[in-house]
Amino acid sequence: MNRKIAAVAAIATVLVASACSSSSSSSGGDKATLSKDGKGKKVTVWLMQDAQKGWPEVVEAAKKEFTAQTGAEVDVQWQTWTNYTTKLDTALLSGNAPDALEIGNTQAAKYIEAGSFVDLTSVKSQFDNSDKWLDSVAASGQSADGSKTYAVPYYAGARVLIYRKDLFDAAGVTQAPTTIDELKAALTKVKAANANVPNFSALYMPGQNWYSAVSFGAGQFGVKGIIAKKDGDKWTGNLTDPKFIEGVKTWNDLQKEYSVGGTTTDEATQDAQMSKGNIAAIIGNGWEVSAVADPKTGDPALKDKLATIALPGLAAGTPTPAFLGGSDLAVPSKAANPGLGATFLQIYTNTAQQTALAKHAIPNAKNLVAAYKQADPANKATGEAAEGLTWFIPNSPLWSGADETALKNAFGAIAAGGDPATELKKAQETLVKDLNG
Amino acid sequence: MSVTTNETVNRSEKSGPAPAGKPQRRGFFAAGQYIPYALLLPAIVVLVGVLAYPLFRLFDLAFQNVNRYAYLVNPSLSKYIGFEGFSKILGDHQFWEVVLRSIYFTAELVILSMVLSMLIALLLNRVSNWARVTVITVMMFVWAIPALVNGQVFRWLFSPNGGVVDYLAFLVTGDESWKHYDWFADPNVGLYVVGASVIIWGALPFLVLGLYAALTQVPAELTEAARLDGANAFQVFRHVTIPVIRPFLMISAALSFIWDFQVFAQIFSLRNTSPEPGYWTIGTYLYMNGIVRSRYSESSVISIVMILMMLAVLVFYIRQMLKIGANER
Amino acid sequence: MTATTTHPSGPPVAPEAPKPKKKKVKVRTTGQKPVVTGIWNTLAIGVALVMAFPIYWMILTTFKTNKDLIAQDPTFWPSSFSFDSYKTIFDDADFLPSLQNTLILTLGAVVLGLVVGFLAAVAVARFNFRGRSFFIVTMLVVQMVPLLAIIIPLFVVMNKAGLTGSLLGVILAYLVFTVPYVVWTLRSFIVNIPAELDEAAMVDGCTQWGAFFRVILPLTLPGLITTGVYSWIQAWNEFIVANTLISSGGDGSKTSMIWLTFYSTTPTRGADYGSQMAGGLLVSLPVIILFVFFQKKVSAGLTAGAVKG
Repeated sequence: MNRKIAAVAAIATVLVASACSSSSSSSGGDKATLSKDGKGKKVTVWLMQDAQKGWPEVVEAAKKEFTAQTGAEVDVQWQTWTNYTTKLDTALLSGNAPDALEIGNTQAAKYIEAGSFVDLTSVKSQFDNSDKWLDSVAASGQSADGSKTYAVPYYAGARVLIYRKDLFDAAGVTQAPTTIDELKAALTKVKAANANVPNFSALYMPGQNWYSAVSFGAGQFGVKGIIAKKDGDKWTGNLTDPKFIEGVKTWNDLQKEYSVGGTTTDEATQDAQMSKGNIAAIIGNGWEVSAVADPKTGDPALKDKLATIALPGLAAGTPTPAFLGGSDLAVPSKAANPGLGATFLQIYTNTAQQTALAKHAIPNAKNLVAAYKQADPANKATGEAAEGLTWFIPNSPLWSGADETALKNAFGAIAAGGDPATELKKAQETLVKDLNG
Repeated sequence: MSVTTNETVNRSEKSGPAPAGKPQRRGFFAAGQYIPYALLLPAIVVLVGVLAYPLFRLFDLAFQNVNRYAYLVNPSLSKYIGFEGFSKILGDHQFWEVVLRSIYFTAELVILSMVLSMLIALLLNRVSNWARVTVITVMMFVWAIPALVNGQVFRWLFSPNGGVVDYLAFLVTGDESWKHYDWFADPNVGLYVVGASVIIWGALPFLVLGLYAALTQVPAELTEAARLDGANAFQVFRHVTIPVIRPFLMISAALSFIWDFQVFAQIFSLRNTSPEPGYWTIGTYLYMNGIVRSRYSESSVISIVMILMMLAVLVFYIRQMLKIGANER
Repeated sequence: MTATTTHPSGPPVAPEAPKPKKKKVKVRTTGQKPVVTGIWNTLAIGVALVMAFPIYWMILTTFKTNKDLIAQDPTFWPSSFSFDSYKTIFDDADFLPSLQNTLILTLGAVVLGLVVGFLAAVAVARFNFRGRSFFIVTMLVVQMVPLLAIIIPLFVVMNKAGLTGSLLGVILAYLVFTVPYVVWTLRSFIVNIPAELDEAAMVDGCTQWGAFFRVILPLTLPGLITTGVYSWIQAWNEFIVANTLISSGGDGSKTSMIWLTFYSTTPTRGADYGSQMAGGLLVSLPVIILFVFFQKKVSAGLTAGAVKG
């Protein structure tokens, strides 16, 4: 008996003892180089699941070219967005970081401030189209003052108006609306034509879709300093600015008039809802067009009945600014082969790969958006939205998911009948407190 | 903690049949003082090896100002601030709102889930074999379904647009307005009705199967003897069944309390990953104010305060539970 | 210590004369009229139906075709069955490797957890020793620590130990969360076994270990299975620790839970809920089958271990 216990104990001790003996690997330098010397080396790259399911061929092509140029192998490890920040927190803190990684552009500032990414400023000019990167996505990869570049734009996404052309046609709306007033007129007609459809929304606007609510605010207020802006060291909120509230009221009016249900939900289920047939329009990302008409997640019968336009604005030709979301690519400071990691990013974001990527998502540079628009008729609107005025969250390392929750909840409360000024003031207090530390 | 320890030791010395000063040992391994430690060694090695540093860090961070990622990466930027972090959290009026809500919610969850599971476990002792296997298989199914999928299913069930619960309510009442009833518009309904049913639904399998296993340890002779003495069903339950299953009952009640008090994932999922303040219990507060904002020190402070609160509630429990197996016989 | 099936009557029935034990093992509704049993059975089926409804709904969504999904009001039965969701899962090259990883992880965590936990439970159930109370309270406190608040230092420890990216590291981390529960619960089962039994067995000529295996182990079997199932499900369904610790090692190092999140919404594509549900179901099946298998063992073990206590 004693021997057995001793054996168990011994095994456990060995496990822990061996556990504590190895040392952490050394951290890489902070200066960026583009190394081509990779014979016999293996480069680890973290890319999100989007590429695995959306554009694996682009990744394969980049891997091949990278190996041809440097002799190094590439090990792409697919990541999931769920809990990704926890994973980054730990990996970037330790010596266990990959050589290059993808990061959501709303999350980049936190790691840039902490010095977790290699400074790419000196090699930026060697990246294709680096002078024509899409503004908001490029800004998310820069230091707060814009003088240094830590992350390379990867792809972007913008929300547009997705509508049922058949329903609009049937209601007598043959010209796509170009202003908010025209949109309202069109929606009124569509609503009247479908008065007998139960639960019908001419434009379905879930209350917690803060992206579209802020977009309407930005339509009145402008995109500069949207939500909050920094004066010296201090952030001040702009959510209670009369112009912003004016825009939010436009959003709220549309919602009250044309949207049924969904005050306490966000936009995650709107595609499934739309495929049920009782929704004539939604505000969504370009890919949602195919989600609504997908045989598995939606209704394939809607395939040719959906159309997209940039969300109409106050005047014709100036659409309501879209939120420019997307992903960045960066090289961790603790990477084992930062030089090779940077080279992989250079190849993965070059004109050839980005043109191939344009079939699936908005590429990272303005001059490549044309290729994206040609890839699919539905892309025209999203491409235009990305090229036009866009807005982005305050570029601060202290911006977090909690602030997005505060905004979501504020707009949810407004949608449920709350007073816009009061609810926005509450959210602004939370945000400003967060941004100022 | 040390007080409790001394107390138990004293008790064992006073009441144990063994001569004073010698620990009581009966049954197996009735030799060798080191045996209990040898038995504990693997557990201690694993726990200390894995948890010692994280727990130390938890306390260490609680007294620092590491409230942004940059401070965590460059420790030289951070500094020790004593109890400032604690006074900030304890001075936050929202925190006390949340604590109060957590107490109500936990009481609801623990009482309902314990009573329901006890009733179902007793029921399982009275049904035919096929019925018992059916119930247990269903319980097992419920338990085995990943939480990620669970949350999704419940969001569908309670959706105000074509949700099946609304539809069932419509079928039962015949009232069309039920079809678009929004269960989440009022946080009190959303939390205390929908949230509670999701959590209790998920907790029942564990409790029922555990209590059922514990009930199988009740000697049939005892209950039969009690019945022969004229005890009614409730008296048998109260005086024969309960004492036997008490250890497990207490442990599962304590664990239910611990899990329900810090409940987070189900509420988070039910509210589309951004729960409104009306839904915040302490676990959600920890996530929304600490974790997601990368406020590592504040997360530690909230965690520690949370643990202390649970210990305070459980202090009587713990004294009772320490006695189990020490010198009951 | 009698078989599950020998429990006596429900409330409304008058006590009956005790019968010889062996007979009662077979006649399960001893002292209970068939009508009464019928009522209890109906009640039990009602409980099962309520509990099963969300699961039924989940299974339904995996088979539903668009025509059903698009209906205005929910339908309780699909008009035609579609196996698209299952096809997606079986076509996914990561499905089986990730399931295999989950299986290794879980087996490791359960076996190690039960061994380590059982030994400790015997210690606290059968001995008084210095530090016993401290140990028990620590076990409880460990259950109170929010995982998300310690995940970063946990990673640091594992990284220092060179255990990130290995399943062993994850198994060790799981032990921390299952062992305390195993200790607490098994202790309550072990104390219900009279210490005299151990002694009696030894007097009967068993060696210490022989007595141990013939007496204590069978009698704690229900407890071992209860805690084993608990540990199994904890490990099987865990996501955060696995996703954080297994950061290197390529495509093969996903667990099933990580793999399932790949069907969630991302910035460039919508969620495939049908496949996620189907995947969740397929991943859970081994657990359920295993338990149904063990369920028989529990009854068998109990009958065999029935001891006149």
